[in-house]
Amino acid sequence: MRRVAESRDREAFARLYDLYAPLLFGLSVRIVGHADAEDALQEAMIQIWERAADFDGAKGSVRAWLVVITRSRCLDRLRQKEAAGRRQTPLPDGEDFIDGSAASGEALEHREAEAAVLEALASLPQEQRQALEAGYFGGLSQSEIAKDLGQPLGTIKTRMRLGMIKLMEQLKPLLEP
Amino acid sequence: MEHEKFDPRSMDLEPSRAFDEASGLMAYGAGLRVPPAHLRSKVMAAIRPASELPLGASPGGALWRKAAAAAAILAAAVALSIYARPEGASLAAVEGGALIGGKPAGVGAALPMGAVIEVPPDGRAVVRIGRRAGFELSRGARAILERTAANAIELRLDSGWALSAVKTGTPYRISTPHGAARAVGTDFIVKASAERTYACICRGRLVLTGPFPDQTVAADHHADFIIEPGQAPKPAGRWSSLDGHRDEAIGALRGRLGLRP
Repeated sequence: MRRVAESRDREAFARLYDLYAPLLFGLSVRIVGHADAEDALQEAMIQIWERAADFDGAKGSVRAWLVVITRSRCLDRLRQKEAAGRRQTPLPDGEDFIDGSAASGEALEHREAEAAVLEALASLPQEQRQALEAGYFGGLSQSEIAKDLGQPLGTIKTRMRLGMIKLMEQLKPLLEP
Repeated sequence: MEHEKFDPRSMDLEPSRAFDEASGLMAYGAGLRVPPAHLRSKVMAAIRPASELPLGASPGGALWRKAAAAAAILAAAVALSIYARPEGASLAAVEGGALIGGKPAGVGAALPMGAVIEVPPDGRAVVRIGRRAGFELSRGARAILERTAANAIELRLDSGWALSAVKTGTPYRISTPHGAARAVGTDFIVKASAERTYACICRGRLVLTGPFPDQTVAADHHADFIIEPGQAPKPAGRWSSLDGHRDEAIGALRGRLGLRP
């Protein structure tokens, strides 16, 4: 990341793309759907290239920064489409995941992180997970989630708070220092 | 860091690095998905030093994106040549001529990752990829062989026909403007045109992906589908044809590639 920011190193940027694209593309597909995911990720990657100098390793990891930018661009797109009606994108199965035969160290780490996060999410009470996912992948505010689920705002706030605390606890081994 | 509405304060939590990192990890909850290989090329072609931004354009803004898109075709060739990795793809047979990177190529010529390969309407070219896969291009095919971030082989077929033979377990797929067909150990053909993509699984299993829920199709003897822009695959119906992928054509291709039937 430093080489991208300081030297505008295209090769380093290409490696950054190779390393994180499966994570960021999965996120994009989940938020905006397959049809818009490519454009959303391309837009995010261009922004990452242009804003690389803004990255501050003291504030967070590269992964977290890339996810924030990609998620923001995806949610922008989602809002633009809201006039046509909000939609939840179903998660298609059988997509071309990181192939096991291409078991590079990075691919393996991705796989392990994915399994750990899915397990952590699955361990949450259903209502906590539902609220967190609506906020994270759907870009909904707590008021919007409360309205969608027909629950008091305070209930949603509590569910998200408890869910997030539990998630942080479970993901602690994966958190970058 | 920007956090849209997913903010610790809204959950009565203290802002913390742990929250930010856990938020970043939550992206894994969407599942890992390998983007199409051509997206990497597009991204690499689109990025420019800040000093080259058009006047009045903000980074990532609409004007910049349009300018980048206009330059993409030319720049892609440069980017691909920079980031190409050595691969074992080469021409195993040529009939009627073939162009690689716009230059005539004969049997034995290497097909670098990212290079454009073209055959004339009445020509054909067989490309061997290592010992596990290969394809035959025909009917004026224009295609680019790429490698995805996950090390899978992707043939981006812009037009024409591509008959493929793939050993089981080889990560290989063909993408067209309308979707992609991923091999799960199979013989299959993809025919691409501006109007539609035709895909036939001759033997084995194939996963069709695109702007629609994935579809896994299996057949012992030819099952074909049509994908039209923005639509899910449907049975080929009147477009159904064995032209270009009869058993003897598949047998001949496997023979040329040295793959067992």
